[in-house]
Amino acid sequence: MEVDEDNRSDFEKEEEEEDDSVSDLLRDRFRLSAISIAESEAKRSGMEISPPIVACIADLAFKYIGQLAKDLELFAHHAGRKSVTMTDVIVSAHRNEHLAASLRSISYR
Amino acid sequence: MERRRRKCKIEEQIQIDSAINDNETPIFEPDLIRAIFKQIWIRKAREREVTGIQNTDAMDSEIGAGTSKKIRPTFSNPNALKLSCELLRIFITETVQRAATIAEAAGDTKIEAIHLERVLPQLFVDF
Repeated sequence: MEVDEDNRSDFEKEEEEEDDSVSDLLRDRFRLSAISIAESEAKRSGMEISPPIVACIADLAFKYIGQLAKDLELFAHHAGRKSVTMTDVIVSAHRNEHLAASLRSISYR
Repeated sequence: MERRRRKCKIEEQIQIDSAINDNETPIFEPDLIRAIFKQIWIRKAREREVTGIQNTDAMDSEIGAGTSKKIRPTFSNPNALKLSCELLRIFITETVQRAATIAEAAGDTKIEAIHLERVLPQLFVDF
């Protein structure tokens, strides 16, 4: 039993390392997109935005997507489904009426 | 009447947004969001598998009767992905817009940390 646990934890360690490097890559790509969206929006509002603040917003967004993924999975499982649908995404925005409404109208298109 | 007016305003804004999207505004790539979701869900499925193995030693299999033995990770449909991309984009644009409003009210032309700090509480409530 102990030998099995050791082997499994080695394999798990390898998987974890690979997982971490994949997650780092994804996070960096996400950050780049988030930064360009934030800068474009700042320009639209006629404001400059300082680089550390943009990075901060990108990090916030990355944390948000982590939460969103967990929430979506919970909603889907709660409804007895294995796949996440548009309704799940709309429900996850329930805290803000305007947001939910605009997501709903986007989904109708 | 009020509700209809508000609804029209939201629809207008969406049309404006989509027009801008078609031209220049950057968006999140659905593939990137799908990859990130997938990674989180696979990790969660693995954790559930591990706790499942640990639990079956202690608890009855009655509890596990309704669930399948192999824990498969969740996945999302393409429309849900597109909507999630939009939601994330709105998260960022809302944050920047709110911070910009605060900066403008303070008479600054650059969004700084103090402006961002002011919008965080309402942001966490709304999202």
